[in-house]
Amino acid sequence: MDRTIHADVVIIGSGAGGGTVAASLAPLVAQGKRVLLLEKGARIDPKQLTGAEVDSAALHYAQGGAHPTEDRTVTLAYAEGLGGSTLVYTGTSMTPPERVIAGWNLPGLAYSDVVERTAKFAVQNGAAFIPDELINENNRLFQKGCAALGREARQFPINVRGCRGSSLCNLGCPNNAKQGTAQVQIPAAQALGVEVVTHAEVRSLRVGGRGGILDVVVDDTPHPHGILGEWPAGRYVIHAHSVVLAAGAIHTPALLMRSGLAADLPAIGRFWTCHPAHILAGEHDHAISGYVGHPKSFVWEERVVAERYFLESCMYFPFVTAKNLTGFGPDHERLMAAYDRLQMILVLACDDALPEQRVDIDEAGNPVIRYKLMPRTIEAMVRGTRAAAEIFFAAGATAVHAPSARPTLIERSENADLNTRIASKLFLPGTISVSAAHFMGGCRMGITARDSVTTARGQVHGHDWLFVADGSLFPTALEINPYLTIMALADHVAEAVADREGHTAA
Amino acid sequence: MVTHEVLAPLARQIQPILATFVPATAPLGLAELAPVLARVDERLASEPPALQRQLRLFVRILWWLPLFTHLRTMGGLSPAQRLRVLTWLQDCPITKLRLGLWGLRTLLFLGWYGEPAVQARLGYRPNIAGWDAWNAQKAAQKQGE
Ligand SMILES: Cc1cc2nc3c(=O)[nH]c(=O)nc-3n(C[C@H](O)[C@H](O)[C@H](O)COP(=O)(O)OP(=O)(O)OC[C@H]3O[C@@H](n4cnc5c(N)ncnc54)[C@H](O)[C@@H]3O)c2cc1C
Ligand code: SF4
Repeated sequence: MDRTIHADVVIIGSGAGGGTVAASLAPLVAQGKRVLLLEKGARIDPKQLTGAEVDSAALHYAQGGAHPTEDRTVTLAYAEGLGGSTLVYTGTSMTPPERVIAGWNLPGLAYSDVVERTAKFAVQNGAAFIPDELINENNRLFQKGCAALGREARQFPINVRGCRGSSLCNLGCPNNAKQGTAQVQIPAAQALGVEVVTHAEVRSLRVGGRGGILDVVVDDTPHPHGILGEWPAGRYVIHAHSVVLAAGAIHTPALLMRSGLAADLPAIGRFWTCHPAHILAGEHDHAISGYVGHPKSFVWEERVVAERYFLESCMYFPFVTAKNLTGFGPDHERLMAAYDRLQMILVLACDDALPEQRVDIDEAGNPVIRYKLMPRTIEAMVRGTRAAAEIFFAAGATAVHAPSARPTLIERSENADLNTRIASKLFLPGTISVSAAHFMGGCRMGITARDSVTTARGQVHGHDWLFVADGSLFPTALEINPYLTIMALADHVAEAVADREGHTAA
Repeated sequence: MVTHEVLAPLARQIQPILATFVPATAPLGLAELAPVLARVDERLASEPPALQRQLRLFVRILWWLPLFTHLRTMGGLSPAQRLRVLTWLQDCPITKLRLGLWGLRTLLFLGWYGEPAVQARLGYRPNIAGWDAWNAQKAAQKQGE
């Protein structure tokens, strides 16, 4: 039999958005409110993390880190566990660009307010520059190549405390040094009385009682770390006065669709963007310390407005690298054998928020990502690939692997021919590996229910009890790494929830 | 532990394909291939049965495909012939075929390059102790010189 629970506020999802809302609303508990944070995934014990690539990916990521889009040309990486994708993020902590937030043109969402909130979370998460002596050679080569070309690489503030430089951030930090919601906001919320329930998947929600009613399944699947869920397994019906959806930009729209809200809100799932990316490799004649030190130190974004891409220094593990190098056979194997001599750069494209780019659901209610690589996006990735190749060569690489070139390996002697060697017509979706980890949109903020899902305060149009507080709120792609902005927006939404509850948020 | 076999029963058909994707695996016998395919099957265990079936069908298609061009199965081709057939598929105009090949290649890379011993041979030796381990190793190397 279903168990029935009553709460004032239920938050669904514990990633950048949900974890933040939990901390911001925690003071409500002292004011007599019951606040629940429901997370589908399990708690992860950092002490049990080994850093083994395949096992760690299976432990953290949905579908091993490769949830495919419907047409299977892009794979999507996101984590499921207490902390959401902040468990595996790299921790680059960026303030959003004014042009993007101002371009959203949302009354009640001032750029200065977003900046103030991102600054608050940057401090909370310990974001700072890694000291110069701890920047590894892979990152330095990016800076060196940019400098040689007269480009200014900006150093990323990174949110770590006691980082040992194991370079395993994307497999979960075994030193518990990277600051995500599982390290910062959720413990703070719990200390103030927010109840955290893991292994708890919200299957659907509907209007009812004083607010909403949720159908929740708590599972008792054994977790490799041996940490059990807080509630006995079974089905639960939860009555809540306010519900905050923060299941991420894939599962939040899917949950709303499963719950039948798309009939009145046709923008649900739409205008979805993800900064599609691919990894490029430059081969050097000496070993590069890529796997020691924090993996990501620099970004070059001077062409983001004109050419719609930005480049980041990066390091990937052997399987992910093999997957991302186009092709197979002797050439691919030779490049893999040079793994410890590879410099790596990530090209990220700024994709357009279009109504046809969307999250949908299948018959079983599971998300289907109907997303296509558009010609403009492909062109941006190709331009970014050329710019990255120039950086590799300027940093001293002897050869560059470019997915949109045939043959894919470009020798140093061909440096002058990059415009012809790397071309959009050689970018063959389905042959080239493209992945994404910045999911934005699907429940965009806006003014009307015709072309948006929530108000600028995250309140779902026509449903005063229901809020969204995650990456799905973004009306367009952010054009920079998004987590701090998600936290800022979630904090902003938390104030609206507190208003509804008649109290003040943190 | 793999509880559900998807590609393991097709080890014989996969062997020449894997050897084309990763030539270093050419000398591997079926027994040595087992842990590679076990890693792949573990990843596939949570995939829908329809996808698992499609993948098995795709492997069988690849096995028989060269009959039309070379009058031999994939297993009967020389390494150079196999490379030509699979490279043609990789760049062919039929997106479904390209995607199928990309998917199989990626899974087999997971099986091979996901193995920690293979990773170490490539020079990937991460350590949870990060810089401390790195500096200790450098110091030990210096002492040994
Ligand atoms: C490998 C990687 C590296 C990244 N690096 C950076 C970086 O350096 N800087 C940066 O700014 N951003 C980075 N990002 C992106 C950033 O992590 C995400 O944008 C951010 O975490 C998204 O926040 P969110 O709240 O929207 O979703 P998530 O953080 O993904 O959280 C959603 C949570 O909801 C849970 N959930 C889903 N459905 C349900 C349900 N039905 N019931 C209950 N719970 C549910 C999920 O299990 C998950 O825990 C990275 C992402 C990845 C994958
Ligand atoms: S580099 Fe630092 S933050 Fe990243 S996994 Fe290692 S110790 Fe953690």
